[in-house]
Amino acid sequence: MIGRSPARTDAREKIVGSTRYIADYVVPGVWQGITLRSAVAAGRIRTVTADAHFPHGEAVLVTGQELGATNRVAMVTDEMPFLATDAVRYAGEPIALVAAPTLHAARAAAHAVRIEIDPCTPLFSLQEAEERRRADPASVRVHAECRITRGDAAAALRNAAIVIAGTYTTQAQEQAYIEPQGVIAWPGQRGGTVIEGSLQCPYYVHNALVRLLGCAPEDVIVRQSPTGGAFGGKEDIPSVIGGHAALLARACGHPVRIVYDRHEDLLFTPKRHPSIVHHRTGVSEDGRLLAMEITVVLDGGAYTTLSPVVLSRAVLHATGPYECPHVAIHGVCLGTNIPPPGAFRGFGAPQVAFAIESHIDRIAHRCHLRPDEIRRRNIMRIGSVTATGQILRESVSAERVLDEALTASDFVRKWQAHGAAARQRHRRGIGLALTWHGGGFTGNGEVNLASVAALSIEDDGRLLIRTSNVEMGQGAHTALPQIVAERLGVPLERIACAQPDTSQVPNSGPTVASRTVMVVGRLIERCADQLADALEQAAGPRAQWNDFDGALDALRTAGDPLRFEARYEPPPGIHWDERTYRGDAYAVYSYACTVVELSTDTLTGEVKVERAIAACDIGRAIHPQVVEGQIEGGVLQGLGMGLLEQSTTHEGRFDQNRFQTYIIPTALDAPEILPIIVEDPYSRGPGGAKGLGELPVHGPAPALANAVAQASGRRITDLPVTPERIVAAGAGDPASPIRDLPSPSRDLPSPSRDPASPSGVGDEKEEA
Amino acid sequence: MSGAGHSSPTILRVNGVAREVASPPERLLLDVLRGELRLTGTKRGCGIGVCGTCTVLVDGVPRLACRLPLGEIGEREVLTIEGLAGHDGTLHPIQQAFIDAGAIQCGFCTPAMVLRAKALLDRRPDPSREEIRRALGPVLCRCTGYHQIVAAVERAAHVLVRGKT
Ligand code: FES
Ligand code: FES
Repeated sequence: MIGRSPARTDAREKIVGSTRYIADYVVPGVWQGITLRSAVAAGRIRTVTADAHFPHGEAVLVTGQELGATNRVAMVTDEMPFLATDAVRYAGEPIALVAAPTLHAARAAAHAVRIEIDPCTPLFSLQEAEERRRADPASVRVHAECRITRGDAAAALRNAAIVIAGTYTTQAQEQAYIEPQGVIAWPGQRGGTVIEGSLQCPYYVHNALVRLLGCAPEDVIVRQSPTGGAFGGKEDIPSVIGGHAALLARACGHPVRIVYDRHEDLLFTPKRHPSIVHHRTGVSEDGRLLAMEITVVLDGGAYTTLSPVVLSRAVLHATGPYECPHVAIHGVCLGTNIPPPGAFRGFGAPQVAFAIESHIDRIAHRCHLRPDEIRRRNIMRIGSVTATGQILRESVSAERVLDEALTASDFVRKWQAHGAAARQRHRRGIGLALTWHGGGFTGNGEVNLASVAALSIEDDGRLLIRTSNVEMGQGAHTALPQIVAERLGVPLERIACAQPDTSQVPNSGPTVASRTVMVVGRLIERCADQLADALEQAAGPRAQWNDFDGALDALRTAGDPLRFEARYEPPPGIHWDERTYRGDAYAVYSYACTVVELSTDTLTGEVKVERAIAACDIGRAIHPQVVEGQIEGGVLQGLGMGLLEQSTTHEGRFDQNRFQTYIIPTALDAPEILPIIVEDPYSRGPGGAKGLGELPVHGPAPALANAVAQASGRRITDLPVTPERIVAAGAGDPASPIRDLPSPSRDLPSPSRDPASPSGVGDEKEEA
Repeated sequence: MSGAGHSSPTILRVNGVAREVASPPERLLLDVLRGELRLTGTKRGCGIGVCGTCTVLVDGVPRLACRLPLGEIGEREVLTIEGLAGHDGTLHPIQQAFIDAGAIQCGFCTPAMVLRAKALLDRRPDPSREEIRRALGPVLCRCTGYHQIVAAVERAAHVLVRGKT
């Protein structure tokens, strides 16, 4: 069953429109909750009060004052309040909650709530934070900081024949899941609650709610509702929204639904961390990396939230899949007054991939090498050592994906042809990026999580996979049954995944970090093996069974347990030291090579992406069609980050508050995308599989910038690569050679989606 | 809120059935479908006419239900995703093609994509890839990269044309 592409288990309901997402639930007596937010980015709250018009009895108001010490969202650090009570750190920070039987009534009641804040001086941008910090290190909050050291980079840089420096920046990127955030909370027993919502990590919400409500763990039940996309965007914030809904439900005694409208969702929920990455690289004349000095600065916004883990993944991926004897990486995540960024597919890795993959092309240019040559010269192979001293022993396929992508794209020939083409207004270019992604949690993360998954035999003879890992569109609830079907040789139809519910499934960890198939799938595979052993115990060797049902009956008759559990065990020989950042940062890495072909108009700065190719090694494709869908979707998100998706702020508030201004690619913007599946099996993955989910996002933006540099002669080091930036970089000279350019001004006009344009969105004209 | 008390009920023809609805004529079709008729297959991704997930067909033409007041529909026939499969549950060939081509991920854009595809194929049984992309352009999908959706529509076109000849 592994390697085949049966119809997805969730396809039928979704295609007839009967899947009920959280906004679709019919809940008798449900009230609607809304969030009252700070109008300023920094300040001190003076008062939060309901005035005489507040319709007590028909609406409820909850403020942070009532919460006391429990008013902290349990995350990496327990720092962010559910509701601000004293200091306000970003425009839009939740301060109070209101619920009423209808949205209309809740909004009317909210008008009777007075919030007064004394503003103080905010800090709006990373650039500003870096400058302030240089003048006075204590003046800026530091959410996280870490260093990786291999060899002596400073000395090696002093001796290097060539030193190339560069700075690369990326903006916030919105996940733009099409289903907005939403949760329903029911008042529960003994002060607890039942939560159902669009979320990735049921046990994160569970943990946060137990802490908030101060009740016993069994009195909080969290269920995932069918989730309309997440991409990391429903990792941490559902703990907050779930907490809000639970507080309101407790206050009014009714179930309470909070569904964000798009505007609220775009403005106030976490996005990808904005970044500045500085590189100084020493190379030999023939293009060998001698020393890398890298500084990764992330904008952590108002609260710490997930920033330490995002920063960790960023620094660990910062060198790219290249070996270098002397490396010094410094990562720091600074506090500002923007809404706290969070998880978005890639989790720090796309930002550093943009930097290193742009930078390595510049090094190639300086050393008169082709993009593929410079990469091959430094590429990670079996036995290579990473910046943390990890020796790569298995499934190291960087060179293989490079070769696959070069062949499929006819890269070398096209690169030479485009490079030799006459310098004119319209030109084509081709660019590539080679990227890697560590599967599962960083360092000791998986050991600390100690995930448990279970497989049970139900009364109707079905096998039920019990994990807390959710289906959010990525196909997990099809791939996990395939792993069991493969192991047991039973038809897929008799295997199902339980809808994640903390009262029904063990904690197999969050649905993040490309870990569901690789880590949890492996647990499920082990559960299946236990079941197979138990069946052979009860019914004799497999060859003697009449059929699977007969064997199951024998197991039942024997009175043996019908539930099998497996707990995570780290692969042997893996060691990580969190304090020194030395050792095996990840058990194994996946690799991708992305090639982007495009044409540019150097006069208008317009870029037309013609084709993208992504060769991805994921060990083994459980469901090739789902894998292709993941690659295609990830590539388009990466291209969006590279080309279209602009996030600018004004006084700490995002300017892009609707899909008219926050532009994600439409079917008309999407190029042809060719996914190439490469399989270099990993001995500890189910069927050989490694992580896939995040990998395809990293390469497209740098491959695009590299292709633009070839086509236009203009190296854009700040994402997104907008027409304005291309034009500004050329300064009116369409035949300018490749130059290193200063960052263009940050307050570029925002693109907007004109509803009348062909790629705009609107009603079709009715035909007469 | 609802004007049920003082205005006469409106008849809305939806999915082949004439239904009496209590909502006032100025209420948006999306709210009528989702709120009153519980036809929640029509999605609300933005509520302001940008994401396309609320697409329904009105006399075969794609319209955004979040921009369309009930009163403007009159006698015309509304088709939502719930009305596409046969009464016995047989999937429409476009629905089957979406499943076969792997065009469904989170599913939130799927009803709108299917209806846009139907409007296109009813009008142009053998569309070019470019025409398919144009037809799907008004619906945002963040999961798929669109390729498998385009492939599903091509597959459906083949099946439908073959079925007719
Ligand atoms: S709900 Fe987004 S266009 Fe109607
Ligand atoms: S399948 Fe998720 S938005 Fe299209």
